[in-house]
Amino acid sequence: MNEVTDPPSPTISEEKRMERIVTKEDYIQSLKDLHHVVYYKGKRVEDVTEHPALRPHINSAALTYELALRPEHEELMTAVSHLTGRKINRFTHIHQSIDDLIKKVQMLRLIAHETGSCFQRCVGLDALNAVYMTAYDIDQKYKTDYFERFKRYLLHVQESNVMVVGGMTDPKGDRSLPPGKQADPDLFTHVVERRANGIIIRGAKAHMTGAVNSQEILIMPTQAMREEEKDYALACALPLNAPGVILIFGRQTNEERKCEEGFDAGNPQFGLVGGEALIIFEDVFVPWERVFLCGEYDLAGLLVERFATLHRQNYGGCKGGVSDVLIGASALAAEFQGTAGASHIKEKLAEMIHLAETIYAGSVACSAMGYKTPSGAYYPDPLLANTTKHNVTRHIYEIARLAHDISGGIVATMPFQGDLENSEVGRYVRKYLAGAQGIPVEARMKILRLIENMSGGTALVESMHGAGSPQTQKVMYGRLGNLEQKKRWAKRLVQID
Amino acid sequence: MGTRTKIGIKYCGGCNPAYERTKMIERVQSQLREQILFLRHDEQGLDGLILVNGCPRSCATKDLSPKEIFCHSITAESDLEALIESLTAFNKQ
Repeated sequence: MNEVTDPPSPTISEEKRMERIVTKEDYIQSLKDLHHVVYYKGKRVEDVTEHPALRPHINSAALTYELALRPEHEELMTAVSHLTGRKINRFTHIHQSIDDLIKKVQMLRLIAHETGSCFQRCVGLDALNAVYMTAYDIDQKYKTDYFERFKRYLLHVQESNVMVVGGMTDPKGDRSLPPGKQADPDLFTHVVERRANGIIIRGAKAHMTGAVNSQEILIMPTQAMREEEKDYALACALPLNAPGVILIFGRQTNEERKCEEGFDAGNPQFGLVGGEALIIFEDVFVPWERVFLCGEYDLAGLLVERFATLHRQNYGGCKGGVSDVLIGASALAAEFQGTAGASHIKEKLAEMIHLAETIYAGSVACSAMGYKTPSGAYYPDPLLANTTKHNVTRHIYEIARLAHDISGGIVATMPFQGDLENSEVGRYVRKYLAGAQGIPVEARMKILRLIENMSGGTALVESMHGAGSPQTQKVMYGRLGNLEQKKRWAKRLVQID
Repeated sequence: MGTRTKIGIKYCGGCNPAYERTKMIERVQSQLREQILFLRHDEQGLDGLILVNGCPRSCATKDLSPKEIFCHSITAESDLEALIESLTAFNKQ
């Protein structure tokens, strides 16, 4: 084992240091061994891997390990580390080229085809890339040593193949007030004490996708900071089993269905969206070796912008892939009820494909137009990445609307699986839910439940607010859209000054 | 078994394949396994390669280092027959 993967840390006991995670089974075992503090519905979860509401999200993230081992996917799922030259999981890779940026998007689409749901691990990937390029810039300006520290951390991530959750969004309290003016200063995560060997942090990160089934978190500031907010200008990494870290799982739409057996859950194996959590940091110690921004407030905004861009780049990949599944399910629903030949159904399916490919095109475009940062890492075009994510906030809702239109009202009124299997009423369910000849009623019900799962509630809200709400993208248009140049072009055409 | 022709299989990543790539290769393997030993593309001593692409973008071909061995690239389900013919002919050489 390389010594730089093991900086001394009071938060990680020697005997519990992570083995390299290779398989799905390794990943699940590592979560069993983590013993982190997770709460679900008011109760402490002793083993997240055995909890029925958490297991689908674990299954989904586990595919990021499993698919990397399959020959038919390794071209996208793996990369070569620029640090070691060794083959690594792409979710731990720093983009070294335009091709890497495009492959990331392709990878996300392929995994979404397998899960029909969020697989969560891109958040950590984007955090790694954003902190990597920004730590370099901070060092250039302040002669700090964050970049070398971060490379050692990155090496640990690549070698151990841990799942890292990217932690950006603070609760933010009263949005009209800056961090330092909040009634409760902890509504933004901040440094409360600096010690010789590290820092003590307090606060929380909200809506953290995949948090309960990650091993580590990479914290970033939630917004640009001013001089008086130095303590809030913070980037650091820590294991989620560190003392003082508490995770509270967020309730999703139809949450209790995950605890049922059978197809009423819609997507029983992989669940719905990513599984988000509120993460509390109650005076958590972080050794300096894991601190990558601490007080350099003027570069906090750059880090936020980079993470946001890298994360917004993704959405046409994963949501494009999820949409492929929803389009397929809608086409099957139409076939199963005998409407597939209707011209309006064909037109709606065509429109869904158009919308899905449009968001995918955006993700590919911002990748293709990406560029090299001073750190050497590649970065997508930020204006195009923001545009892509903004389209996702609209197109996914329209795709879902069309799925509902094609499926019919039964997508929301269908009896339970238990009714289908009931000895008294099951025969009526089979009789009156029958569709096209030769199609088993159970198959029709399964597809309709899948559509219900993928097209409403949390699934839609995630497309709206994941990677930033639409307004944050509009703010970026104002900054990056270069309105003055556009005005000059208009003036020149009509020859006015 | 050692006398069988050694053919490596190299897949593209499979971001949005137009057909079931692994199923197609399974069909090829089931037809030719008596004559051909199918291996990973990075094995040593290969006699040839099948480049399995999910679409005409042919990413499996793009990332390939130049090799002076038999290569057959496929990009669609309709390539199945031609692939089997090509492998059969190559095996007879």
